[in-house]
Amino acid sequence: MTHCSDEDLILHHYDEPDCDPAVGPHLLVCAGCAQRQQELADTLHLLQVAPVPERSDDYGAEVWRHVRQRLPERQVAWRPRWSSRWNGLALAAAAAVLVVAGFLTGRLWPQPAQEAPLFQLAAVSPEQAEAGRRRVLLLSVAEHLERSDRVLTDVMNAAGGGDISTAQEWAGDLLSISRLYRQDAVDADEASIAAVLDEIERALLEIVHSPSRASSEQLDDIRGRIDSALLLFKVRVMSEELRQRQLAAPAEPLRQTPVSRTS
Amino acid sequence: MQVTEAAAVLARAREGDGDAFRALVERHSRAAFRLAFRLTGHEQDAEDVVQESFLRAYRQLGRFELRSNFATWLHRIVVNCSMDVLRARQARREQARAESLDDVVDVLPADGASPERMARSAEIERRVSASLECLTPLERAAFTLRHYEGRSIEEIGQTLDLQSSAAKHSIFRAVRKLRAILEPLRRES
Repeated sequence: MTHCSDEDLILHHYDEPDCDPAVGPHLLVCAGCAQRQQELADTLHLLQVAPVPERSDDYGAEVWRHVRQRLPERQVAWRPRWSSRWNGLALAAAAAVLVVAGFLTGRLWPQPAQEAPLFQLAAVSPEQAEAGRRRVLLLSVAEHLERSDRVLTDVMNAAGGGDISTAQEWAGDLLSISRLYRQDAVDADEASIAAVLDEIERALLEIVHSPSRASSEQLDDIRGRIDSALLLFKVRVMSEELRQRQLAAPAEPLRQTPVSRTS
Repeated sequence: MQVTEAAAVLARAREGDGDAFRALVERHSRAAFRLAFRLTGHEQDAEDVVQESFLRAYRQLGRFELRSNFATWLHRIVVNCSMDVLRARQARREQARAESLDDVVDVLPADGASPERMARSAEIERRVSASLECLTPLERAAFTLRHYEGRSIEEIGQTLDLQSSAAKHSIFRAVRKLRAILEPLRRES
């Protein structure tokens, strides 16, 4: 074989299966390539020096103490892909019935002695609860923006006449969720988030309603509108802003809230 | 923990059993920390990533398939959380116009500098850390998973949601940058 490329040497160093099988024998007979291989190995060896700080055996328990205070209520945080406004309303109605029933039960039945629950959120003030809800919204929207970014990028990079049905399927899923998040954002007075979600919805709607094998002209039309609205740019800026807010927001209570009970 | 026991714990955690989820946190935290530290290179960031990863895992437990491997699933979440931290850090750095690749190369001593004049191990560690900071989040994640975690390129592609070829090229770019920065150190060694 001719001399090894840098890529060949890297694949050989890591013993990757798609490394050219001729590389090994070549290194045995070519001093120049063997020397380059050795230099690569020496350089990569330098990267082994940084040790990972040790964590004690009870580190897991320590993590749990921090995490359990921040666990969201599952039904708030987790919205299944197939959820719709009607599903949400039905769940809300069922929850309301349960709350009323629970309230009446509590009023009519004698109260047993209170036992410390094994697993519940720490008692929180209304402000903390509101902050928690907002954090959940920010996290959910941040994940949604990342997924939307991928779909929009896929469409921006799609070839004319190519199959975009997968992107359309994703866009359809994201569309219904986007509406819910936009409403949540409006309710939470997050106008800038709501505005970006509104623009995403329009783009997703257009993608969903395009032919699965859109012509170059049709794709150019969609791309033109995405481009002229600076949509991908806005999505990325908003993603970054939400990430910053997430990194800034949870840090303090996480490190400073005293742990009342270790279970 | 036996496989059947692990599956039972997962099933209970999915149903909202806090003790079961706690068992998962306690079992997987140290491995998650090691990975997060390798990816972020920063102890406090790694701590935050571990906690955030378990929170994400909890929120997404409903989507987790019981026949899958929880450790593999969590591994992916830790990588994604770490990349979020790296992206935020990169954005801050770009905003502050902090050290560029050239700046880092500039701080490396000339070939003739005497190794005896510095605490060599600590200095190497500092420079290695600085060199990793010059990678993009994607390059750093791909390189870390290959170099420190021993993951195959195919696995890295799956974890980072990339084609194998894209994962491979991220590693190539990372190694190329690291070599450019660390070459003087290698020559000194």
